Amino acid sequence: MPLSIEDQLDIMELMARYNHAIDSSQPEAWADTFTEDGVFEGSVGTVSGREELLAFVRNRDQSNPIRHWNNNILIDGDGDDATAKVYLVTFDVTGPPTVRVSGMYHDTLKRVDGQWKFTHRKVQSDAS
Amino acid sequence: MPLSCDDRLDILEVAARYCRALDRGDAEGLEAVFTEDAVWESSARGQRRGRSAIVDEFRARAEQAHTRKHWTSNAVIEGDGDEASLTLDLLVLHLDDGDVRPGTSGVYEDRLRRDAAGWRIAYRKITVDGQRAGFRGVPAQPAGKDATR
Repeated sequence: MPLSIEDQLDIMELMARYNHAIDSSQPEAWADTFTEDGVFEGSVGTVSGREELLAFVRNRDQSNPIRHWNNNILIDGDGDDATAKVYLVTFDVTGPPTVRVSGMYHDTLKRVDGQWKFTHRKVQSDAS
Repeated sequence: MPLSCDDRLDILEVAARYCRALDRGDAEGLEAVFTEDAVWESSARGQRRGRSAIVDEFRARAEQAHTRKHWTSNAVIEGDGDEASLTLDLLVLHLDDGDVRPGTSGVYEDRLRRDAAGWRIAYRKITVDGQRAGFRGVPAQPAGKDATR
């Protein structure tokens, strides 16, 4: 069954919650956007499973406040599985915002107990 | 009754109309997105109570229109029936003499209400980054709510 409009809105909101959680350094809220065995493949390495995901946020450099921004969200899927491609920009907002990272997320998602979660989220930086 | 997809899209559009009205210096457009008793509160500019006071605030700096572009991202909407809350990140691009640079960033925390005129903003709180109070405190997910909403 193709994804409904509600599925697409829910997935877009999951991406927003991910950004709010990482930017306000909330390990549980961030890990909650992934499945239990979810994998995050970032520019500084790969973490997999809830414990590593939690530790990733706890150990993250928080010296500068950052905001993650998304745009141009493309979602494909069927039933309880989806993939997404999303533009990403992060800003250092210590003062007037300056761009830190520009790139794209490549996501695979699954619906678990009625809620969409990332099973795999990979960052592709424009700089690399 | 949980918010429908129509409700969620309508609320996103109210947020977009606010940005567009500011960037075009469109006072009527701005008026249309607030309830009459709306409260607008900014960490940079203080509080304005009532729609007419809010619109007056922006009329007073109409010279900024066309030199600013308000962008938003990361919308999280919660709600039930005719009441909703919206958390939204803000980035203001400053356009000066052909130069574009990110000038301000922050977060909107809103409450919206639906009546015969549709969804409108009843309360908007703006916390500008750099005026740091609140930056770390943005809730990813209000307690006791369904994680997908």
